[in-house]
Amino acid sequence: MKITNKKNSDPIAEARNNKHFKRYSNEANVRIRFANAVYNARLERQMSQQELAKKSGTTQKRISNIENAEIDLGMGSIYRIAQVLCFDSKTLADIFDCDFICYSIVCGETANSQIEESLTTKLVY
Amino acid sequence: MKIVYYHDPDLKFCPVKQYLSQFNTGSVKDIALLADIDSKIIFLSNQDSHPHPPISKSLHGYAFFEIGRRKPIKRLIRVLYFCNNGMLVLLNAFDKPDDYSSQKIKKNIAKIFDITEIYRQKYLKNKSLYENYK
Repeated sequence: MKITNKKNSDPIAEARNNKHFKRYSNEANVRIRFANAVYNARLERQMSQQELAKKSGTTQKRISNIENAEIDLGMGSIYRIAQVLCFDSKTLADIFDCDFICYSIVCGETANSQIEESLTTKLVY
Repeated sequence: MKIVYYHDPDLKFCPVKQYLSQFNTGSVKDIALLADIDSKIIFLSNQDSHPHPPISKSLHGYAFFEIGRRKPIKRLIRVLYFCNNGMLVLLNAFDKPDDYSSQKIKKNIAKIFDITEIYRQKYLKNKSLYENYK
């Protein structure tokens, strides 16, 4: 019979040896960065969790879970929250640890209309 | 900051290690849970010594902070830590129901916080009471 001394074992150090640990760890890091970005952007805009939930078509409890980095989100949810909080390309690139994400893909019409507006202004003047 | 587990000389073990050992099953679900807690701890060790909401929160009336994590079956895991001289000291951990209002549970949590404050005081008196976080 195998006897282990649980009192002296280091569960996290042992879990690190598991082949799945790194993948879960990387996913957790993305959730943490997204949670931080949502929390900071929401406070910056002086929005409550309830308001953000309403604008992004979800519930306050879900926003709370997102800010606690506790749930994996689908693309639709990420898209809606990023739109409401107007995440720029740098914020999204930082969250997903990417070099670059095109702003116009993420914020669609808003970005395009802003670009068009600035071009029109330049042309007029 | 360097991450360490508080080691209690009377109990002769680290309370956080002891708590987390229940997830040392090797199951994929528990590996994900430990990876999540580990990521949060490492994230906080790269910040300043203040609580860093939403990942960690201060506790009213106590000089340590809590890291939260949801357990699959409507339980919330809490890891309590504090920062001192460039060290992030993991003091204690426990879990509680997701949604509670009973006085009994509130009293139990207050008791855990009081024990954690004793751990913190013991550590401050003897700063060699720790084990490295690997």
